Amino acid sequence: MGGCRFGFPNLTPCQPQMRKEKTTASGMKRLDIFNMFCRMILAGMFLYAGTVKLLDPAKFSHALAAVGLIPAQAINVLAIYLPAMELVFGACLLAAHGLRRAALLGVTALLMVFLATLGLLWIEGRSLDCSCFGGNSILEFGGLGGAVLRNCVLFAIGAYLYSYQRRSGTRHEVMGEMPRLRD
Amino acid sequence: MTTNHPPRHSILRDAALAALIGVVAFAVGVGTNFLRAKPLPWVYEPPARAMVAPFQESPTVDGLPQEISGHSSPLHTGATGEVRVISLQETRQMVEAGNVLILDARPALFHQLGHIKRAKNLSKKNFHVDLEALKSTLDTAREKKHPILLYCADVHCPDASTVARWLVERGYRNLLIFEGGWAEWEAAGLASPI
Repeated sequence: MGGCRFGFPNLTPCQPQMRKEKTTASGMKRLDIFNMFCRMILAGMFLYAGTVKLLDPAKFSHALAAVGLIPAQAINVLAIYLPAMELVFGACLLAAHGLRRAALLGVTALLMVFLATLGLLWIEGRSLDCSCFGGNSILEFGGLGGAVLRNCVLFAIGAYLYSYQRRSGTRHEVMGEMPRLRD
Repeated sequence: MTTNHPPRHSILRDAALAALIGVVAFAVGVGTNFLRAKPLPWVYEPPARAMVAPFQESPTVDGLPQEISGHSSPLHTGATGEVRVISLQETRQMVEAGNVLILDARPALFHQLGHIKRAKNLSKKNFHVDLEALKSTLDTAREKKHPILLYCADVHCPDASTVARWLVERGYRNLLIFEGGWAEWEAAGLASPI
């Protein structure tokens, strides 16, 4: 009886027809390359956002205070913690696959929180600078609406990559390793 | 022949690892802040108060600490006094008395939309150009020993403190920061049509 090595008999990634997918010269599926590209974008965004805010936490704390939803005692703690979290999660997205999957889950959860907060402020009609990338970045286009849109896209990427990783098993990672058959 | 195992990873395991990464990130954040030349304090201070804090901590000329009372934070450096945070009430009295130079540190667009009566625009964003235009006014205020009152958008806006620091660096003294800014002035119903 045939089955795949990692316990997914008859599931799509392990079926022989999947091996007919177009591959590059290095053996990577196009989908894997696309996934890797998405993951690099996500990692790059988080590393950049974390670094610029970590360099000037005072400025970020003023932006958090201006939101008006966070208790005064928690503002500076968040101003210290959030950029570090973005930086470490961004780095983990580039790490080995076990860490990477956990980082994807963390990043997606973080983006969900950002999206909920920014969405709420946007619906309220507030005109705030989100300071997502330190306040002076070209990436901060379109005010709060732009920030909501950006977070929607990043959240979709994070959720897609995480669900793909879970679907495709422990070894068939986003980085491009082909699923293997074992007869 | 192989046996069918369930997936060896679960959301719970990933969540636990993500939480662990979060703990590491917290340590990184705290460590980075600790190593900073000027660490961010654990409790948030509005920009104006954060700016005057170093002065408040330093002793006066006779070695006694500065006194802080009510909403008004006397600040100063040395005997002459440099920067002081003032309340809405004090600001109102000074604006009515008229012997104060009022500077709006917000960008020109916001200044044009509304400002405290007789306020001049010395924005942080366009500081050098605005300073050039206001140099004679500032010098006159200094000669007459009139205080210079600065404000920006609200209590969280750092622009007034930044402009105050830049003015101190250029030798101006007797600066006052209206901490509540335009938001508090407007909320008190003091904003008059331009």
